[in-house]
Amino acid sequence: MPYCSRCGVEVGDSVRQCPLCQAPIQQLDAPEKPRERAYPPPRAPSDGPGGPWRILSWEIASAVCSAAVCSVGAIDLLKNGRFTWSVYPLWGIAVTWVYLTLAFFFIKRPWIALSGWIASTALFVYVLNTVTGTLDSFFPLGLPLTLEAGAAAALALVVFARIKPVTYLVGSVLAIIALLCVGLDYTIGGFLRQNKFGWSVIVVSAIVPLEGLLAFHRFFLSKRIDLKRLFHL
Amino acid sequence: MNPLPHDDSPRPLPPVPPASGRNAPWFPLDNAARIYAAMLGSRSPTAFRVAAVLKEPVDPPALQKALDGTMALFPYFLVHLRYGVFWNYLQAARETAVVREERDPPCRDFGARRLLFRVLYYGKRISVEFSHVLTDGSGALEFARTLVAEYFRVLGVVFDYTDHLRRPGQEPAADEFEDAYERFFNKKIPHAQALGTAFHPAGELVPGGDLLVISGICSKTAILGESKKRNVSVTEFLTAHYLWALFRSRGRSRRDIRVMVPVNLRGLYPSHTMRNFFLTVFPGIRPALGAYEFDDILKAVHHYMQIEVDERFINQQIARNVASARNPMNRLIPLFVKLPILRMVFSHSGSRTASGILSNLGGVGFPEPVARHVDRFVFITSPNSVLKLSVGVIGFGERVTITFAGLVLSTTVPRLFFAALRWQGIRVFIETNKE
Repeated sequence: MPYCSRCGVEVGDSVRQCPLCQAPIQQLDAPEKPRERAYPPPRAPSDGPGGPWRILSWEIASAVCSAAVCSVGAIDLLKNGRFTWSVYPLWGIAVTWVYLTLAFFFIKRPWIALSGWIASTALFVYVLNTVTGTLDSFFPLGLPLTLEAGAAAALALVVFARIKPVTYLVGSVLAIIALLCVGLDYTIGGFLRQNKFGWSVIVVSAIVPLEGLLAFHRFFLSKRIDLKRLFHL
Repeated sequence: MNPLPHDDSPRPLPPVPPASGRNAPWFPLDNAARIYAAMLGSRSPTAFRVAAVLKEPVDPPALQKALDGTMALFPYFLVHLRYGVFWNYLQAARETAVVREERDPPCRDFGARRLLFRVLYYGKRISVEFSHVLTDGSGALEFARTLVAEYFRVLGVVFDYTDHLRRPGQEPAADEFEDAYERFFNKKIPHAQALGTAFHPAGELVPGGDLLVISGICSKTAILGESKKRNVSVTEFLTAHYLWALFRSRGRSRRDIRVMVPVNLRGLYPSHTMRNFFLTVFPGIRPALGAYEFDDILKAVHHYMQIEVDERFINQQIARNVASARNPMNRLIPLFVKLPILRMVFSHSGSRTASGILSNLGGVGFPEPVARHVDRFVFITSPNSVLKLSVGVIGFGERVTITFAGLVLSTTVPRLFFAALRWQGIRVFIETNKE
């Protein structure tokens, strides 16, 4: 029977590498048998509906939202005989419930959750504009702001998935914040017919030196000085 | 033995509970299950597996018939976990258990409102996976033995019901679903003291929460011989090896190294319960005090086990666990507040106090006509997000299977463990689900 010359353990006829130490297993001259798997081949992790804890949390969140909707609606109806001020909190609770539902059930599929959040936020802003009679501000202001925030969140998702070193990660997140601020400033400034860039210049000017400091640490300092040793207590 | 003809005749259904909805029978969780229910999650499914590897490929229709027959002997396992205001409970499910082909890594999460066990087949292997919410290793082994015997009876093997095997049509005993912790609780004794945090092996996690399984198949004669030579039990011998492997893999850590060893309380108390009835002891070493050799560790484990596996010390643990569940203040806390607290308690006073788990189910017995068709048994205990490596030991015939189940990619501890066994002259055959 084939065995690992390093660990001394025996392995199956078709095993080419020791499962314990990864040392190559010397193959005997006997004719090769078809490999008999001890376990099914690994599959991509499936995204089930979630554990009972997640479902219980969602049920509790739903119950709390329902209770809030009932009490807010009832108070407004009893006092004014119709829905007046309660329209705003009611829509707010509804969109919060949608956010939570997406978070509970699509947390392992962040792109679906994010798309849902952007769509529900856009819808919420549209409804608010309709209720307040300011629908003309939806396309020049509400929708672009929502999409800019969504784009920043999407970029952040990519960054968290792809970038591992902490200094790169922090640098990338700061760059996204700077971009978002510039976008928001541009949109709001355009809507108010003011200067195109205002406060965002201050944000960017604060972030740029930080980016420089991070790059200095990453490419220079970390290669020369052991910070852990330098600052040990 | 002939394969079962694949007929289309309707198979007898196991008994289903007489009522559903609000009238469905229900059971409160036992003391250990309350903690396990709080720990349920994809990284901590609290599942474990007892598997029988046969000498011929499994016949799925025969296995389904055997399962139907077996469920009639264990009707209390057909339950779902439900959420009350103050505690979880088990509610009888109007559902039949169905055998499935194994496609996923072992011990996956059971999901919400599903049965808390599953029966799988793959090649020559029949696997039974249980949630610890439902039963412990001894209960699952009893179920697996009955299922395997019933499977061979369906296939036409004739045998006597020796080795405490359940007969078809046998009525379940009244105390099989009792909470034995409650029965043997003595509130007049002082509670056991909590332990400090132990060393935990580091390592990159396996993607998707899948278990990395490494089984070492050894000769029972060789392991028994080495244990007897040193005047220790097999559990003590293997625990010492596990501690020895952890000690050598610890790097620069000076934390205490402890192994959680479950003790089957049915041997200490007169109970036939099929629910959880075990407690754990924590043999260990203190690297901060100096270097250890294998014989030092074995001596420490042996004397610790001789002292701790004693009814008086076990009573202390039962007293601590049951008293906290009986405390009126604790009972009044709503479940959604209680669950995170229980999770924290388990993490701090359970998992964090041990570096690993070693559970030995002992030897499995069958009547000879059945035994000749079975090659070996495998026992996989699933680790959790804190305790990332566990060891399950089970014996059948001349073979002892020692299975490491880990949530980390590193194979350092199993490598040191099996290499040390090999160094002592015990041959080990390795089987794994690692690609």
